[in-house]
Amino acid sequence: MEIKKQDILRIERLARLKLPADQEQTFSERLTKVFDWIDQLREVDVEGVTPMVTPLIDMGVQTGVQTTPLRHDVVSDGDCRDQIMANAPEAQHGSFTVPKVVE
Amino acid sequence: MINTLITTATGDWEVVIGLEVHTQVKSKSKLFSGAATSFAAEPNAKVSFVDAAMPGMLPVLNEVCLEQAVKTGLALNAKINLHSVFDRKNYFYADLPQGYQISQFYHPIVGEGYLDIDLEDDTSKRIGIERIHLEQDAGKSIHDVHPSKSLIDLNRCGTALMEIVTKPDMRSADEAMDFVKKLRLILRYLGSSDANMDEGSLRADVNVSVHRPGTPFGTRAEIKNVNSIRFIGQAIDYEVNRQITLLESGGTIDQETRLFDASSNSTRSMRSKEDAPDYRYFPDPDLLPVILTQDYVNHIKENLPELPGQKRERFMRDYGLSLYDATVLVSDMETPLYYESVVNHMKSWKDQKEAAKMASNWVCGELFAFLKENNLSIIDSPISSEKLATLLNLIGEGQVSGRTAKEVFEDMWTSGKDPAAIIAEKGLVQMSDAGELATIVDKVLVDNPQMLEQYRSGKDKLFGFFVGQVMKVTGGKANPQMTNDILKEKLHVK
Amino acid sequence: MTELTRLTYGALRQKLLSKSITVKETIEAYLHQMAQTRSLNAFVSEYADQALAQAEESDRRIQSGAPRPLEGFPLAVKDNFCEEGMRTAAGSKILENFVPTYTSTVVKRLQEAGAIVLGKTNMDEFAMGSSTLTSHFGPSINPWKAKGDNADLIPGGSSGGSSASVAAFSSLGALGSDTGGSIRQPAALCGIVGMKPTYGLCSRYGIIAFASSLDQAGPLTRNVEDSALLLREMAGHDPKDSTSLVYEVPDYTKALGLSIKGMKVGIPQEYRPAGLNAEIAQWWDQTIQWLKDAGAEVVDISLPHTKYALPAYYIIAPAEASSNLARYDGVRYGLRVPGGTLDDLYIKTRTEGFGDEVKRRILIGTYVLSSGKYEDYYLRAQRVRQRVTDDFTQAYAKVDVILAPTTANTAFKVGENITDPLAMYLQDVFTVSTNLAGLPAISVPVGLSNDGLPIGMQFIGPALHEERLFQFAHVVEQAANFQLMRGVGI
Repeated sequence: MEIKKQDILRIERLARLKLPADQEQTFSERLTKVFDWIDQLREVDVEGVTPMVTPLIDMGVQTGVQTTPLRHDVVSDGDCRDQIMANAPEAQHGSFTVPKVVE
Repeated sequence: MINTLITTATGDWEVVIGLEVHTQVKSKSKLFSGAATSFAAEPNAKVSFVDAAMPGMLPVLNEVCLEQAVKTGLALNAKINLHSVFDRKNYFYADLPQGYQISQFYHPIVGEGYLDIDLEDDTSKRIGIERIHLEQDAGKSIHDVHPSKSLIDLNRCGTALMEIVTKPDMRSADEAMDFVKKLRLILRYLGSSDANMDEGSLRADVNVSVHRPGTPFGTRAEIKNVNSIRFIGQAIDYEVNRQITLLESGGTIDQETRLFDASSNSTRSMRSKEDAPDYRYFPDPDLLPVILTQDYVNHIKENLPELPGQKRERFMRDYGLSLYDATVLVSDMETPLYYESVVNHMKSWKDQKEAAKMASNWVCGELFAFLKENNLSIIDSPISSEKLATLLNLIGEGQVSGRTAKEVFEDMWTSGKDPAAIIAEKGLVQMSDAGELATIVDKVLVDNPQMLEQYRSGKDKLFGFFVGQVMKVTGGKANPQMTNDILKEKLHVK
Repeated sequence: MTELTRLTYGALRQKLLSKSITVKETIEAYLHQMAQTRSLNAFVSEYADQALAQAEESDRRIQSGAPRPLEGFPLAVKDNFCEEGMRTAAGSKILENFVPTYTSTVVKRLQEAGAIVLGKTNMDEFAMGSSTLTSHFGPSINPWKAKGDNADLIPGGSSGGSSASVAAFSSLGALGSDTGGSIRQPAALCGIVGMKPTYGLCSRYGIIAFASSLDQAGPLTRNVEDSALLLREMAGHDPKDSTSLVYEVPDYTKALGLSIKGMKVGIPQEYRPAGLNAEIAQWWDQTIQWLKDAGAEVVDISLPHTKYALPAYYIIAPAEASSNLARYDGVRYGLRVPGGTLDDLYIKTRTEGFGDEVKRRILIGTYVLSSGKYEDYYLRAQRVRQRVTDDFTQAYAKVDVILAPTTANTAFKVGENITDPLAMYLQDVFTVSTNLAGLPAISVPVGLSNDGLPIGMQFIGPALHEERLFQFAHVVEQAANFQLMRGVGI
């Protein structure tokens, strides 16, 4: 299936990044090639197969892990603003700052 | 049946409303991190590395948040899904550090349910619940402190939210407001949320459309983040008007997101950024599915607190109260507790239903009036439930008349004294001596010969005049029932 | 001094405990070697002062008779493991100035066991690659060179720096991470032992995520025993990681030296396509022979969905990565390129901060999750993943372990950059299935190509059968008698 340049522009938009302009066209060609190769997955019979989001479900049958682990409802974290802000590129009054957003 | 149709010059329109209510789950720590949930704190003080989406951080589910969602689902008569999954909802925004929100899209924890609301004609209407799911709340952006920058505070980021989605079953602004009021009450009774719109722990997205009865639903507009019940009503009214006007002039409704502007009492389109966002939902691989056992659900069900609807029915059944009175008494959390305490201190009454009725009258009558005038809530009432019961017991014993009791009540409110003391001090004890009363009645009749004459010649209404005169002479302390009986006897009323 | 860096930990510890050498001397020897081999660009950060301070502490403990299990172990750590107070960049410009205020669980455990971190090693950007050529800090160089050719070779990736360091004796062991082969492949190309544990055995807390359902931390060492020693301290449940297994970690060293007589080794036919590199095939046969000599039974098996594992991987990994890397937005840490609007800030920061390969994978990942593609690509890939996993489950009903080559080729030249994406993806053909299925695997160096470059073979085991892997790996190690030092020419 052909992946067009406007597909590339759309996903660049979703991903909030840009390839170098001269690569956008070649990338769409590259992706078309990659997805043609990926399309061989259609050869596989996956009728009735549950998508495997993590190997842990199958493993769970062996190890008895049944559900996502639960945490007790206690305050065990936070109150570390200095550490949270330690790498902030820009901050003011203890808040991160970004260019003003108009809603 | 209440007619909710809107009739214009061109005919009838039916309004269709659905709600997506977001409510903050009551828990000490956040949904996936151990930082504290907080209402007001210094910016970024209640933030963990997980909340700030630092590299390498991972989510771990809070067991209480899970329980709260199940409790809420059960209270809304809904199906609890024993298998549910957390999905990532991917988008970019300054208050969303991960670049995705952990939510539940494909398999929410709660399925279909319902909530019955009371209509004005004393019937009830069933509003369907589509689903309930858990999700992370975002942080806060503050746009108006700095001229060119927005400030980002992540304290709220990661707090657990329940999103309660209704079916599009509401047909008027009143129904929508009633639904939210009732939902709010249930959440508070459950303790699964403070559900306080002022504090932001409850907000609603309102979906509104109009259509001609008998035709398919129209295109809906979504009004986001409405944060008061009153605004919900106002937003719906405005939006309905806008849509009908637009359609009647030949226009079409855009499926769009709008904001309610309280200052102008209108809705406006949000600055449209792009076409419908593509959230690319997929199951969060940092978490496993949530697998519940039926035993777990049953245990929660068995331990649910009494809900408003159940309490109301019990009040009607056990105390013989009317639907109206019972509804008023259960309309918040504290009033029924106060009320039942009053009743429990009136156990000396032979007729318990009479006692319950009197208690209901006084709580909903005098007490509410004084509370409202003084802007107090029932938990701050200067008259405790025990003291009120004492006063009512004195009425029951005939120590004081109903009328006088109101005077005593006022004094109790301001002075804090016991009713018995007030009655004694002010000499307000009811006059219930038949002989004494008879003497007074005689004197009244003697002192008002013309009235007596007119009464004897047929003006039955003057009976009340004589009662009034007895009251005047006795300073209101005459036992009304006794006065009536004696008067009747002396006037030869059969 | 150089002799110290030749000792494996067993021998080193003996000398330390008998006080014939000190930890300080050991660390000094390693720091010296790091300086000597700096041109390999294996390290992106060196912690000389800190390491020496810790060495003194280690010596104190040994003096007081209370040495910890890995006391004084000179360890290199891949730069996607966060360490408090120490710059951690995951090979990327976007984290070039990021200093974590927390340490990853695995590093913490090793430090608490007495290991001393010498520095952070180079890697492909965000672990996306098998060469270190995509690192913002420049490529790492393989200490091995082809016979009669002075050209620089890649060490493999993405744990290329860790691998090169261990092979160059500038660390005794190193931490790596394996998402599609990133520990095993560089181990094979550098002639060392690389171990990827069962998914969930080691905590991912504090490891900069690439693909959440595939990433696993693991040790790179010169011998199997050191690998077992490191894994024993690394592994085990972490309540901070919901994907961490509750599991009682055994003493893996007890598996070394156990007989494999009567045990069954599966040889997957799909891993032996017509065009398989002749030398790789030859060493595979040799390894099979060693196993037979040791009494094992060799069984032909089929993993029918092998060829589909690659396209499935190249959907799943980018999909998860596209979401995991959304947090790098210039707001709370890392690079920020100013913009007029918020979106501007995002786009400028991410465009400048990410290298081309990372961008490409994010775009692929975004695409396969996008509306209309999710069912066809992502869900389909996850279903194929189940099929791939089922192949292994069926195989393990017949055999105890599977033996296969780790790589399709030996190390290629730094300049010989593979630009064709499909050819690049095919490099991972022997390793990705294991990650999809979450199984453990270990690569062991078995011999040299005619060019004199290392070749590795890997054992793949059922979930949580690391002991079995060490058992088999040890047999091969003994038989192969691979001379790391000879090849590296030090």
